[in-house]
Amino acid sequence: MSSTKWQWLAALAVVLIGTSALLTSYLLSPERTPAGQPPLVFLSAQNLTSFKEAFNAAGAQTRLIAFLSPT
Amino acid sequence: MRGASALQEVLTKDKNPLSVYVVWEPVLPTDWKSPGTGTLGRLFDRRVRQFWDKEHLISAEMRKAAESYPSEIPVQRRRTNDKADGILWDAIAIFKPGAKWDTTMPVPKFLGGTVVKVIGDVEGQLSAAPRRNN
Repeated sequence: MSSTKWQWLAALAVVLIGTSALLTSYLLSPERTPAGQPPLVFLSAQNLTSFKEAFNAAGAQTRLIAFLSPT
Repeated sequence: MRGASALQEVLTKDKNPLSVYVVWEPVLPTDWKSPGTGTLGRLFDRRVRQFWDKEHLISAEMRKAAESYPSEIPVQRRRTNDKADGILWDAIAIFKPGAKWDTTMPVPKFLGGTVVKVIGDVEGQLSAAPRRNN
């Protein structure tokens, strides 16, 4: 194999490794809410009551629920 | 995403007592992961709590409430494909003080979307809302 081909393969490997590292970092990085807010809650049937409790605990106030998709 | 920024603009202007629950949910094919730090940062008001609702549980609870309590708000409003069994999304619901989640959620006094289109109505609802607490 010529040295040019080896150089191309090496460059491709670097790109693939870099992309994988970035993707892994993106997928594994913890989601952080802005300062002053509680951490992001991952809702499930098991902890749905925590949402209900928070909703009722603020019952003296107006409450707003926004339904959004992340993308 | 524009909806989140539009809502933050309203919150920046409205400093009255208010609790805000932002329910992020997968709807589009690109929503395969919970919102990242950048997305969460679009709503930076301290009155906000943010949730990732992968199973659309709150949407389902809202459906139960709409089916349990007759109101002027149709069940299918702001749901995917305009169907009652669709996912409630790109929408804002506002609940008046005193409304309590018992066996089902209370019916909101306002439900509308898309968020960008109704953000003026949302602002009006909040500014007109009674204030019972600080």
